[in-house]
Amino acid sequence: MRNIKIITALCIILMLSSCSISTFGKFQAAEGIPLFIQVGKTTRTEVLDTLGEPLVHRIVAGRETLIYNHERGDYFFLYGTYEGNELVLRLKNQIVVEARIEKTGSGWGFFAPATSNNPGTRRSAR
Amino acid sequence: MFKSVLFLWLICIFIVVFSSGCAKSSTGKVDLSSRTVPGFLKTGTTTIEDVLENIGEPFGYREQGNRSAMIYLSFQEDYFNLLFTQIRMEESHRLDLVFNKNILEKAEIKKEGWGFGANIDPQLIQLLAQ
Repeated sequence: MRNIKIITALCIILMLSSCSISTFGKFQAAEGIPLFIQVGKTTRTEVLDTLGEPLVHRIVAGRETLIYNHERGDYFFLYGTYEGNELVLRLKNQIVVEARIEKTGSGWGFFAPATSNNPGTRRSAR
Repeated sequence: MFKSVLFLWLICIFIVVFSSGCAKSSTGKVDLSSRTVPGFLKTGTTTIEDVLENIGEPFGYREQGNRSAMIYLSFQEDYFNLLFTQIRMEESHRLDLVFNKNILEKAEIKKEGWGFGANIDPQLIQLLAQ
């Protein structure tokens, strides 16, 4: 009888203690557009110096574009979430003329992690 | 005796409840699971700027002369787990947009892949997109 109680208690503790948090990317989407970025003022050099090399650097419709990604997954045994975002910066004459955050994905899991979209796994928006 | 049976039942219920689970996730800036092209896309009138404004930055982009192409990916995954049974359903779609002189010439949705109880290879999806 006592053994059953101990086993039950151990099971509960083990199950409730499983949790994880992981985050990938060079900016924090939850904090919004990085404060140092000021449209019309911030230069490409300042962006590269502060955030580092972007995930994507290309010309789209004649406009220089830098893309930084951020993915975050939380899991606290009972419930897990995942969210992916991108910081898209457009430049003109090496000055940031547009900055916005775009959502790339999301997910939830009940008694399970928010599936394989969690950061650290192979699948991601890019 | 009664207490022992009750505890055994509790343990069984615990195992069943805590070994089950479900999850749902999606990746991509536009939901293509309905396999219908977003309503604002009109051949002959929609521009690249319209698309960037409405959907956002594409997964893939390429220019060649007057022609350019955008690729958007959409991936949905459902996962269910009960005791020792796991069911995973995955579906992936791709929206191809072709522009000529900045005007939409073609919009097409293709089913990239699906999975049932097994993963779609994401590296293969990325290779196809590139």
